Amino acid sequence: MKEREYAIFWGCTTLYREQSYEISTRSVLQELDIGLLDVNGLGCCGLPILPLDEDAAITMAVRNLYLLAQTERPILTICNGCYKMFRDASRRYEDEEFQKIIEEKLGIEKFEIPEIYHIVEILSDEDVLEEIKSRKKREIGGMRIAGHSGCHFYRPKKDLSKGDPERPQELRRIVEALGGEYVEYWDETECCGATVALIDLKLPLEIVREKVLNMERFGADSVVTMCPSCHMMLDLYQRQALRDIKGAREIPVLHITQLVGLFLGLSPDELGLHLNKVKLHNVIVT
Amino acid sequence: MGEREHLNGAITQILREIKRCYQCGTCVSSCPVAKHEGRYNPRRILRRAQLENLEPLIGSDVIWLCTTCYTCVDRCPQSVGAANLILELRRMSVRGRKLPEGFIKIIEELKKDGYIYPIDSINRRRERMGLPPIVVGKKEEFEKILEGII
Repeated sequence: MKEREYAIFWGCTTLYREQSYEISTRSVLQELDIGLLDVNGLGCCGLPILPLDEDAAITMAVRNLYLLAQTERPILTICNGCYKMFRDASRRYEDEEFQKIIEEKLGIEKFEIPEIYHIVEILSDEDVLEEIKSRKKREIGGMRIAGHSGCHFYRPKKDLSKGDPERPQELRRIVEALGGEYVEYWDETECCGATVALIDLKLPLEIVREKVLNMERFGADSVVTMCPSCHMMLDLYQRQALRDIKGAREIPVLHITQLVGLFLGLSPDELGLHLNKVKLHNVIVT
Repeated sequence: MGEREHLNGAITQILREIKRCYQCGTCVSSCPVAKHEGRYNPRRILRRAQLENLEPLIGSDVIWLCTTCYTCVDRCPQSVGAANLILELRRMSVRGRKLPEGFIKIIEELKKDGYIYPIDSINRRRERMGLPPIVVGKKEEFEKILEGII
């Protein structure tokens, strides 16, 4: 067993549409000698059905938490939405009445929910950053990198409270530790619009267009994300969002694990870079 | 028929909380949706709800435009915001009414294997990528959790 090991929860979007996030997370954590345990039988975190039925959504989450808890390891998520859902579910599960409902619905005994972490907490940890810095294999110092931190790791603040939603520091800390220049831009903390994309793409595309244009305006040559849904919106839909803009420049969108992996000298294949829609050619020699 | 007849505990509590809203508009100026979509105005939605005029909101497409980013909740000087109200209005609107097409598909997928996408279709692709196969849970378990949603 490795000194640090987590039960990993990938979530739907990463597994189905953002495999580059899974590939790069596996590679980077392996490189840092941090173990991941895959668990069978997991499902959606529940967040997408939160607007329909809160109890059903939280029950989906608790079912996952139960399966993950069997590993007796802390839980690691790489998605903001899954992270929020699990934190919400943990809070709700403290209620004994709700525990009984769960017992009945899922046929499981009461259990302890392990600590829940987001990948960005692991990577922005001081000791881990020192470790990463000591293993530098590739120069990213010339890069001007915008951060898109997304919403549900930070908001609503009163429930999540690990970071500052108005001035998120986690991505910045990682980018700066690697020697990159962190580029601030207008409406940096604004949502990517992914949750509405289920209903209609028009509005999210407008949100993406404005975000990308703001990043460009402030001189970013790339952007890092920490959530598969944000990555999907900014990368997969970027070309469509910029369609009507004359002379618009596409901005490569990296999962934070891809950026760390590049710094650690991992190959494009090991980071799933070929799966990114906006290519990196102009930014870095891979 | 009085609307109160189908007001459950959650909405009653929210309606009590939003009485604190004094219509300053911080939610509107913070909202990533309102900026692009004039039909969506969280301040106005809060006002309607304060007056307990919920019926037009429940039937409206507008409540499905919120991204639930919670910026309005975090920035509200009265700790109210619109996101929690919107979520509850959505829950009320799907009880016996129309569900947006996207959600119908999601529920159908979830009932099959617990994921919102057809996960079983990608294991071969995962193998080519050198990723381990996904082993899904029992269909019956998910059906039971999702019983009665639609």
